[in-house]
Amino acid sequence: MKEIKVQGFDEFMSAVVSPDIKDKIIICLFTGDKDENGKSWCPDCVTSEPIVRKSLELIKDDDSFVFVYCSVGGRAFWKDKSNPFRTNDKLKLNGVPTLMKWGFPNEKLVEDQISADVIPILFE
Amino acid sequence: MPPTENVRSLVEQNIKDNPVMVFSKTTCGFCSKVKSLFDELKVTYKALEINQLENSAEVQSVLLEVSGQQTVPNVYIKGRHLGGCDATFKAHSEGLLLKMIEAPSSTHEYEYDLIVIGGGSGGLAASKRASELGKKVAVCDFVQPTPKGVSWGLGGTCVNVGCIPKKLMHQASMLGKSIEDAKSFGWQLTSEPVKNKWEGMVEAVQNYIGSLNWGYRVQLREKKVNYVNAYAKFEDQHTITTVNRRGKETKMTADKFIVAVGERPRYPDIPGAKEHCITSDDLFSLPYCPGKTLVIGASYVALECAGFLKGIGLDVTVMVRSIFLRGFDQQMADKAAGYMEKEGVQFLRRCVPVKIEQVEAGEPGLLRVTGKMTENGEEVTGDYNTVILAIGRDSVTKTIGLDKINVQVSKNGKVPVNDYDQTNVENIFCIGDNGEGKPELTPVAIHAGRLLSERLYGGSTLKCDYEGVPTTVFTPLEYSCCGLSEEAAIAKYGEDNLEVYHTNVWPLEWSVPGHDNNTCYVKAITNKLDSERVIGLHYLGPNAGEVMQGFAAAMKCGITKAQLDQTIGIHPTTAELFTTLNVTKRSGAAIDQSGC
Ligand SMILES: Cc1cc2nc3c(=O)[nH]c(=O)nc-3n(C[C@H](O)[C@H](O)[C@H](O)COP(=O)(O)OP(=O)(O)OC[C@H]3O[C@@H](n4cnc5c(N)ncnc54)[C@H](O)[C@@H]3O)c2cc1C
Repeated sequence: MKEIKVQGFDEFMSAVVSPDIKDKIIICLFTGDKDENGKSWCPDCVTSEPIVRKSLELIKDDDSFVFVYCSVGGRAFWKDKSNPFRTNDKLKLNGVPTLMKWGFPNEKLVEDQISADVIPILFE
Repeated sequence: MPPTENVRSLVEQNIKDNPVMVFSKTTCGFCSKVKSLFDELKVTYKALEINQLENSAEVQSVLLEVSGQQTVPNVYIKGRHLGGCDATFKAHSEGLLLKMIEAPSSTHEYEYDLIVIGGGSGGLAASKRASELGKKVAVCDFVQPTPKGVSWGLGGTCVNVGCIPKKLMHQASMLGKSIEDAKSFGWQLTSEPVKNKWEGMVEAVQNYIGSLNWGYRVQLREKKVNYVNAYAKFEDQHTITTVNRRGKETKMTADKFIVAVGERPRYPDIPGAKEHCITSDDLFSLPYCPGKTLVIGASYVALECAGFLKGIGLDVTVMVRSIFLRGFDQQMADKAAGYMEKEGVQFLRRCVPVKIEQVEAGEPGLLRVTGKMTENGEEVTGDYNTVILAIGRDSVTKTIGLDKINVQVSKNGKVPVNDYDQTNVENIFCIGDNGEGKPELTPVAIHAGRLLSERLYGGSTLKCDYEGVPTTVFTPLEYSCCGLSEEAAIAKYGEDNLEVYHTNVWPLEWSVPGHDNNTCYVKAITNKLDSERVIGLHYLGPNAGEVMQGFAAAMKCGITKAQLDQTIGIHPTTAELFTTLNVTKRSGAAIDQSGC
């Protein structure tokens, strides 16, 4: 499983359509940005990240998967209800952290759903 | 540094050995809260204060691995991960915590405590509850494709091909009516006619259903119920074989089973039925507009589908053998159908289908339907783009090996059960649409499923009360009722012992657009032998379901006519008419409305 880190909507959109990964199963984690000291404005994102990473070990040797780690932006940008992460039909995010499979906007995991028990459902 | 095997076995051993295990830190306020709760409840527990260990960081990383939770407190009950402080208090406030701790441990040697066959309204409710109560549970759900090849996701009939899509499409059709009415209220619509696009409606509805399917899968994971997407059949009293999409067979064993496999549409035994017709199982995801449609049947499914198809602008005919809405109050049924006729739905009465032939293939194609009038045997034919069969539904209980384990099944596929939803075989239970003599409704299945699991695993004795269940038929003019129909009340108590109050109703919102003032109607049936207790309540008008729900609660409490009269109405509503009913049917006095 390859990992790609992107920042912001435009980078995300170009990453998921890039030819070398477009046939892969793309697992995306949307999370709040960290500042220069590595501190995030989103405490739930901080809690979720290690849980996600732990679960990703299940597919670490599987090349059909790609993991896209997407920092959505700062708090003010995110809270704006008209930001493209929230309005784009392929995403329609409601909150961060969100974990989802690209191409399945109805199938998201948010908040407490991002747990070791539940995450593997995305790998099925 | 990865945690050593020693640390791992320390954690695992503690979880295994202690029925209530708290991984904790002496410095953590939430940990103290959880420990005080257990002290208060006089529950024996073991607390491992990991900050007092040398390798606390390692312990925490093992905890993350085994439980997906790094923080403390981290609570385990009988070897199952519960969660942190919030999860513990939540379980306590829902009355589950002590039940989980006190529930007797399993004494059997089967793989599961409970396997539920059927992941619909009833099965999902029962399986989630049983798992919450600490049991090891699996639910098998598999959808056999329709003759047209349509299938769907987890959640059963209601979510995929029942309540949800039908109410949304009913809403789509009601919006069309509101757009018309809006003109009378001063809205200026552009001149071109407003039209519904079938594909747009279907896509929106199916998207929503997709998110519900996903939600159920996530919930099962969260509640640690094992979801098996395979068709289940009994082998013996404790064993089933499951067959998945790829034909792979697996055996599973359990102490107890719940059968909740639901029903599927019935096909008449006439040429062309399966080849050319569709049913409600196909309609809600139909990729093309059905066009001119014939609906065969007079069940609520038939009338509701006909109603919303008409409402979105299609040419609709309903072929009816005898009466409308069998089992419902017939005066109300006739009024609901009468309104449809006024709105332009055509009825072909006292007619049964004989054969269906394809005139032209296509999406939609053209079908020729031959029918026979029941009175004089005369043949009638008509051409339609789509024919929807809605003549009834049958329980799919005959192919799941119930005969092998001697579970009694009636001819029509229903399973007789006692008051505890138990079949004649002690460890096999049955809920939802399959239970003989039970109302076939989603909330009934859910309620029964939850209560069954609480009786089996939560020490409860509460039975499901199947009486006084309210329901709504979402015809263009909605009809809702609770309690007995007039026919059933007469049969039970005798006409002389009843008083029936009724009136026509003119909803305020109908006045401005100039809709008929004597179409909506309400009726209350009371028992004179029992302080005029209300035993049947019937409402035909807008928002029927929303109106009836509250009155159903009042009827559960045994409301009498006098108490209904003392209730103060909400003005201006249609529901308020229930508080001022003063004309008895017996009197024959006028109930016409002419505005006030
Ligand atoms: C068109 C329509 C409209 C409706 N509208 C309403 C409404 O407005 N309000 C209301 O309350 N009710 C409504 N209902 C009724 C409601 O849908 C049912 O009462 C309810 O779904 C029954 O739940 P259940 O758990 O008994 O079965 P179901 O929900 O039918 O679930 C049974 C599940 O078991 C699966 N299954 C079957 N056999 C097997 C097997 N051998 N192995 C594994 N899985 C199997 C099925 O595929 C299905 O997923 C409507 C029904 C229809 C058809």
